[in-house]
Amino acid sequence: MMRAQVSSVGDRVTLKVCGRLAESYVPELENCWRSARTDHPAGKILVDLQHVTFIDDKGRSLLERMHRDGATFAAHGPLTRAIIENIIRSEA
Amino acid sequence: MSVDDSALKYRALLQISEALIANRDRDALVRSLWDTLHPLIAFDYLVIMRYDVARRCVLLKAIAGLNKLDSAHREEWPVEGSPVGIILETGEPLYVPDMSRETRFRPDLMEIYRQNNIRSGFWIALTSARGMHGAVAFTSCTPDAYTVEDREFMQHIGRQVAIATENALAFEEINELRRHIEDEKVYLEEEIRSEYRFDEIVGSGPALRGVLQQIQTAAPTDSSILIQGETGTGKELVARAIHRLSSRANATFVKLNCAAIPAGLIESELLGHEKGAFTGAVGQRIGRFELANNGTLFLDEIGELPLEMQPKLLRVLQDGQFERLGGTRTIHSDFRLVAASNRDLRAMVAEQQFRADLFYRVNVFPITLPALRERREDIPTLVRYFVQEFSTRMRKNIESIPAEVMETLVHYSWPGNIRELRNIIERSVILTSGKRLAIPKDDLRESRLPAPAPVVTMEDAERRHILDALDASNWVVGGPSGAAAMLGMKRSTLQSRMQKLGIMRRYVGTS
Repeated sequence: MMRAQVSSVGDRVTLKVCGRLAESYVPELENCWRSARTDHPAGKILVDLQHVTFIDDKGRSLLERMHRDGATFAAHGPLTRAIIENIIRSEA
Repeated sequence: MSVDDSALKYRALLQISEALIANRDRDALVRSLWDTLHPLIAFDYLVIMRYDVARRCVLLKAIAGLNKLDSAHREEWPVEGSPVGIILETGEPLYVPDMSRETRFRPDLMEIYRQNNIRSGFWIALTSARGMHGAVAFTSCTPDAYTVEDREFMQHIGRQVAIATENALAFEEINELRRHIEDEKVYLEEEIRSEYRFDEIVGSGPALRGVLQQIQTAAPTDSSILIQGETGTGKELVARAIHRLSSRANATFVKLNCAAIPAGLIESELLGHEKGAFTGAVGQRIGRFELANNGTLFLDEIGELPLEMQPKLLRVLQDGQFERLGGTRTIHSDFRLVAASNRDLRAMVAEQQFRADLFYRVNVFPITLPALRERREDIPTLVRYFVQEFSTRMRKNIESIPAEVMETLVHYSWPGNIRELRNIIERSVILTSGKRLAIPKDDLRESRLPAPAPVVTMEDAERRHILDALDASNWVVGGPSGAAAMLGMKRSTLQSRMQKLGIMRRYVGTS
């Protein structure tokens, strides 16, 4: 299961993701991400991955796209951190 | 009643019988009754009610009428002070020719009758062998709407409606139970997935990619699949992935570990049994073949399936037919077989420990899982994955894995494969007190078991064993300290075996 939630304070937008970022949940999150970008075109979006338990290849690809589109990430746990660090390093 | 009337009513009774047989749904049933009876009897509302004995209340179950009753949304009434209470008390049908003079009903009920202009009514008990389970009401906006003949006819109808409503209620209960079981199944499958993370195949190295590619290719076909690999390589994970990606994904994934069930019980586990089929068969039990109908049957450790059970499995795989133990009825089941083994089944066939025909039937699409030491590139990801899983579960804040720790883990041989890695990481997370993962290195050293030796033929094993004895006796065959005595056999028998196995003394030296 996955749950995504968008909240905003001023121009700070947070997309909080909980659970499994994998398989059929990936397009769900992508839709949520697009809506957040449309609703907050000027806002900087923080993708909070601290409660993500698993990320598969599709999830990782989505995070790469988000990173290219300007998202910043909050990660917790060795797996999530390694994935995010890897994305940031490869895009640098 | 004229002859014409009588004929019409008998025809109506016949039509009602047909409607009662055809309609298992209460609303459809009451609509049918309305359509059939309305031309014959002057009623304006037809109401079916259920009597709840335990709660002493009446439940409104279906209404047909000119207008929907104003208070139809209220679906539950106390039985006291209601027409149902009166027929329950007297055991007789209740006819109220003039509602305005009625004094036995509760005021709130009278108010509803007044609001809907109900002036007269006839209530009949719906009874079955288990007693009164409800009532049917014919009410009218006309005072004294029913003649004695009408009421007699309505009582005939009431007896048939009683049977139909009881059937409809039974069907509703069955449907409710079925829905409940389906919901429970979805919940349990979700729980299994989340507990064992069966959706999550971790890694991206070429060896794993090859396996994933094979899964993608094989899953949509309906062919039998044989998954081979060392213990702890994730055979069940792959079997579940195949099921999830197949056209049978919405049906059940049924698992049986052939090594975990005593040989004497495997047959009844697979085929099921009837009550009394054997001592201990206290009730009927559905077997795994039957449970897996339309789904996938995963036979783990199929190499451990007793030889006498193998032809029975083969028959079921070929015909999809079997009988429960103690049963005579042939049962059909359509399932896809996914089998797994950590033993070399082909070698077992050569040694006649596994039937060749079953092997070829099972081995349609073989998938071999790599050992963890053959996919070391995935170890860092797996380590991070397990650390994250266990640290979340144990509420520990482990943020990093030191490079030397990762180095140790990557270079370990992992004879127990991913299962061993998972256990080591779980232990490490328990022992870690800071933010950096600490591993019990001694555990790794102590558990540094040699990789399982490849399975060899009996002949090779015998040759090796005799050579070991000969080496230990310095190639002395006879006598009290000779190889024959060590092996517990006669000197002549040992010499004969040596000859058969082509064992000759090797002379090493210089000339």
